[in-house]
Order: sequence, then structure tokens, then C-alpha cells
Amino acid sequence: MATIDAHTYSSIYGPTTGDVLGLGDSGLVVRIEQDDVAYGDEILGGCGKTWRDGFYVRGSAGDSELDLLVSNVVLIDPVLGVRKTCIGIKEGRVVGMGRAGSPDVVDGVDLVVGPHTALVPGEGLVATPGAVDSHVHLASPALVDVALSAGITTMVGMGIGGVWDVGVNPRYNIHTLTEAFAEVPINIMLLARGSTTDRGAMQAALDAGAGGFKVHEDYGASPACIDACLTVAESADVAVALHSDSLNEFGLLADTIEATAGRTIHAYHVEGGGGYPDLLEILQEPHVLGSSTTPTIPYGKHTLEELFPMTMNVHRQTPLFASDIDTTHSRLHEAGIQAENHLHHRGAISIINSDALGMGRIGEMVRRTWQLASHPALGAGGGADADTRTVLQFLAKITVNPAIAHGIAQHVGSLQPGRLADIVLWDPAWFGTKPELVLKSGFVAWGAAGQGNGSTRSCEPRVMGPYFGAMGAAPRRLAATFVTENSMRGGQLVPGPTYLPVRGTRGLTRADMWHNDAVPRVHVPRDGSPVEVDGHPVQVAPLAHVPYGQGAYLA
Amino acid sequence: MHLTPHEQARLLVATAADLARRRLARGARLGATEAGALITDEVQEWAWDGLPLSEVVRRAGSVLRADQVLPGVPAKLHHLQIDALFPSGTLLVDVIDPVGQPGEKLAGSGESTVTADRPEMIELNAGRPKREVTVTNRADRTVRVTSHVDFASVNPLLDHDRTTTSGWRPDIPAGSSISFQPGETRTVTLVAMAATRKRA
Repeated sequence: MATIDAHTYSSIYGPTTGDVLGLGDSGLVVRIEQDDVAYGDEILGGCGKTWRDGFYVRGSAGDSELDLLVSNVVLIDPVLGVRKTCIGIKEGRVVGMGRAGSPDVVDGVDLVVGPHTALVPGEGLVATPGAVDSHVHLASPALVDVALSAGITTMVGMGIGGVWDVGVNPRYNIHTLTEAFAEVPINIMLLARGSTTDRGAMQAALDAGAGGFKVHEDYGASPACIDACLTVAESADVAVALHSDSLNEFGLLADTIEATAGRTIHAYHVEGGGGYPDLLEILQEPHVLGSSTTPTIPYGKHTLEELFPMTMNVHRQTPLFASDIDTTHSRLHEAGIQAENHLHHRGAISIINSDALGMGRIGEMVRRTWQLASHPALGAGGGADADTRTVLQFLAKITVNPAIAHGIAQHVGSLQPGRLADIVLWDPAWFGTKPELVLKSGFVAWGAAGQGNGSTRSCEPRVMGPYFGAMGAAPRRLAATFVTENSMRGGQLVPGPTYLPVRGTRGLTRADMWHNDAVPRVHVPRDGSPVEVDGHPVQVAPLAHVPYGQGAYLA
Repeated sequence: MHLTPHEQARLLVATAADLARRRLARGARLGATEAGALITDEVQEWAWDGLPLSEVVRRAGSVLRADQVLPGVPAKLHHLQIDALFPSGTLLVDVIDPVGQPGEKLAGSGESTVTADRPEMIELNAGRPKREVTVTNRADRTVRVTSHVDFASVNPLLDHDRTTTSGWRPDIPAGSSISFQPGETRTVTLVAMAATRKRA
């Protein structure tokens, strides 16, 4: 009887069923729930290995031949769970998971490897879907490289660069920005400014290539704007992201909720850092999909202190107006931030996004998600099964849930068969911080590359940057621009990019959010005392030290 | 200066290594990025001075102690591959676990380790038909046979009854091999290949 000891097995082939794998330096762990490969039939590339003609490579695989296989990887997917598997890819999309090889040699083959299939060895690595950042101010092109280097492969963005803006309008700007993004290996959805009652202008923006709307108080978030924007969104099937009225100028939170009239809306900044001071109460509405942003995740020792200048700077407040100083102070809610952190673990806030360059850091969306997930006072460290649930809950907040909210979950946010093969591969020790490789539509587009003169492909210093999928015209093939189905038939899109349709945004409720579908009662006391969730006051102590921080980054 | 991309990368390492030295000098613990740079930088300079390759590899493990780095760092620096310019030319300095074994847990650290919650030993090819075959190597050199080869197709000088081995492969871990020395006779266990395959 051939046997192998468990430690040697996981060192060679990667962890297997029953193994508990640590994710980065937080203590957060996942349990491998299943292994699709039979012990003894693992696929391995290299001299004397099984990835050879007549072994696991079928002499002629015909039409079923895969373009690429990621082998023996620990998949962590918000929908598929945690499993050791191989991922098969063809024409940029995931074909399936399971046992790979040649049916002539091993039984139960799910993924037939042909003579020309490419191999990304995944032994010892973790695969997650590329992250979806659903709140990005496209104020500078510098954020694209940073996003890819953090494992973000889809951005929902607004602004045209060098300006303060909350949308992309009108057609000339939409077309120009769309052409720019065709050259980078990251999916993009442009949100048009929805802060208007001019329905014709909003429809024109969708026809020109916007994939949704942003309503923002800096440009107008009155009940009339919200109603008009939702009306256009309902007929076009796109999402509306709302940064509501901090000033209570046009009414109270109840008036905004009334303006939505039960129509699905993505509420940004539910902690109240942007929008109504008592915005957390909006989480009581099942048709509201809530998100919050990087600066308050996790709540730290100096979170409140840094928010004052950040808010002043971003929202163009002047210290020369006492009223601006007062307004900014009114947006800083310590009790709200504590409750926000709690409500993420409760699963009531379904999405985390960056607010990049507009009060948030795009390179920190992923790591801050794991910093909050591993928060010792909020339930992490409760054992492998509890941690695994927490990992899937928090992964969903930055992958499948924003994808569902914006109508692109049939393409991104999970690695279910049929989705784009936007896959981030992590060394478990570096999990959540610096990816090894980022596959965009099944092609290596970004990652840690060793020196060009290296004798191996990993000679120090390894530097995050482009692979061939990011070069030349490759991004046009690999990255998508998300637009409405109507616009794809309307003839007003700028030619060139790969367009994919937005679908299924309307009628969504919290129940559609994976692992984050709680609708608790929330009360925000007017005097700044602790927020009450289901009648219980919530307090969370600030963190003084975070994992996924100084251990992984030199600055 | 006529700098190549490779030399520019070396300067990046030197800068990061200096940052690491400044942090160490004031008693701060290092993260993985600057710790890796410091080890790489030291290796590069020992190479420059012409220390023997094996000595450079050995010394790479003495640059940093585990208590000089932050929790989780040893696991992040599991393997460094450093191309360094020696007086004799460029050589690969291959360094494994230079800051202690990742398994050596520091108090409060969250090292990325795999712990097994299952039997210590894993049975391979369980429940499949197996048989034994006696083989003599008639070649004047070593012949190696890997896990998933159809045994009837191996080197003709591996003398055995081939009518019994078609559709059977060695019962060993995937990707490993067994070697037959010149003239050696030994018995090996075979395991049945796919059920759909024609088998002796």
C-alpha cells in the first residue's frame, strides 16, 4: 500500500481535505472542505511529472482542449466555498473545476488537458476571484497599477481624471475615457452623474457607454434627483449608487427613503461619513444594498482624527468658512464607525469599496477587508469553521456582492463556470496583501515578476507589474467595459473595446447579497451615544495594531 | 553610468536594505519586504567579495533573527532566489527559510501554516486493483520510471513480462519515480490505470 505523510503531501501537492490553512499574518484560517483530486492522481508539471504527452496530456483533445489550467489550487470563492481543485479556462472564461488530466489515464476527469493547454501551477497557492471595487474616483490614472497590484480586476468608477467629479458625462468624455481604459487590463464600468432631473441627459449617457449612475450630494442628491435617476435606471436596468445629503438640506433620511419608493439603490457610505448623519438606519430597508469605504475599515486608534482633514480636502471645504468646519465635523461619527464595523460582521452591510482618491485608498480595499474580517473582538478566531464562514462573508463583500449590485455578476465576482477567468493567485503567507499573479480573462496580466536577466523567473527583487496580458493591444481582448444591453444595439458606443452587458440590477434586495443579507433594526441616537442594533447598543474598541500591514509593506 | 535594468534593480535593493538597517538601528522590527531586501543586499556583497557560493548561501541564514522581524515575516520569506555577480560571474544563490522555519511560532504571531485535521498518513490509489511485477534492468545505466507511465511502454531494457503490465502504472506518489540500477532486479507494485483503458 502506497502512503505519504500528511505534511509531505501538502508541501508537494498543496493542502487537502481537512487541512486548515492560515491566511496571512492575522491568524484567520480556512478549512479545506473538499479536494477534487484523487490521492495518487495529482497533475504536476516538470521533469518526470504527470503533465506530459500520454500521461495526463491527451494526445489529441480536439474541441474540448482547454486554453489554460490552474492546477491543485485552494479555491476560495464566495459562492463555491473553499475547495482544493483545478480550474479549467477556455476563451477567457472559467469552464469548470475539478479533476484534470487525460481520461485515458485517470478516472473521473472533469477537465481534459490537451497537448497545447497552458499550465499555471497552483500547488500551495490560494485562488480568489478578482476583486470588484464599486466606488472609485478616477481622479488619476495612477490608481490602475495600484488596483491590479492589490488584486482588483474590476472597477466601477466616476470622474475623468484631474477633476473633482462624481460621474462621467457627457458623451465626449465617456467615449474618451472608454478608449483610455481599453488599453489597461482591468474591467471598467463608468457611472454617469445621476444628480439631475434631466432624464434625457441621463439616458444619453447610458447610450454613450455609461453602465450606471451616481447620485452625489456635491452635485445634488435631492429627492427629486433620486426619483428621476431611479426612473431612468428602472427602465434601462442599471444600478444607482447614492451618496446622500449630509446637510439635511432637502429633507431628512426618511424623505430620501421615500423618494426611492422601494426601488433598489446602492447606498454608499452607510456609516455616515458621507450622507445623512443617521444613514445607518437605511439598513432597515430591504431594498437598500449598503456599502462602506476603506478609511473607516477597520476602526482604528486614529481613524476619526485623520477623517477631518481628509473630508475637508476632498470635498473642497475651506477653513475660512466656519460653516464648512462645522459641516465637516458633523460628518464624523465615532459611534457610527463602531457600528459600521459591527454591522459588517453582522452581514447587514453587504459591500466594502475603496472610495479611491475621494476619501479612500484603492490599494487597501482588499487588505482592510481582511483586517476587519480578522478583528479579534468581532468574532474572528472562533475556530476553523467559524473563520471559514467569516472569510466567505468578507470575500463576498469585495467580489460577488458588488458584482450583483451593479448587474455584472454573470461575468465577474465569482469563479463559477461561465464567468470571466479573472483570478488572483496568492501565496498564503502574503494572502490579502500582495498577489503572486493576476489572471485577466484567463491570461496572466499582472503580478510579481523577477528580474529580466534572472536565471529563473523569480530572481530578486520581484516587482509587481505588467505581464504580457497588460501589453500592446492585449487588454482590449482581456478587459471588458460594462454597458447597458440597449447601448450595445444603439450604435452610439465608441468602437474598439470589448463590451459586456449589465443585467439584473432592478428588484434586488438584501436577500440577494451572499453571506450578507441581514436586515436588523438600527437606531442612531442624535446625541452621539452608541448606535443600537436590534435594541442593543454597539461599541467596538479601536485597533492599535492591524495584520496585513507592516509585516507585508515597507511603507 | 550606462546602467542596465538589472543594475537599476540592484539599486532598488540597496535602498530598501538601507531602510532596513535604519529600522534595525533604532530597534524597530522589520517587515518582509525590507527584510528580504536586506538579505538580498548582503548576499550580493558577499558575492562581490568572492566568498564561496556555499558560504554565501550559509551566511544568508544568519542575516536576521526571528525576533528582529514582525510576526508572519519568516513565512513570507520562505524562498529567495538571488542572482549575484561573483568575480567568477553571475551565480544563482538559492536561499530557503533564511529567517528561521515558518513553523517556529512566535508568541502572538499568525504564521501561515498548514495543520492537518486528518490521519497522519494518506493512502494513495486506495481501492484500486494492484499487482506486482518483477523487473530486471538489462541496461548499463540507471533507468528511471515515473508514476503515470503505462508500464508496458517503459524502456525495452527493463526486462519483465509485458503481457501483464499494459494499462498498469507504478503505485507511487504522482510525479515521483523509481530507479532501476544497471543489472538490478526488483519487484514493484503497479496500480490499474483508467477503467476505460485496455488493461492486461
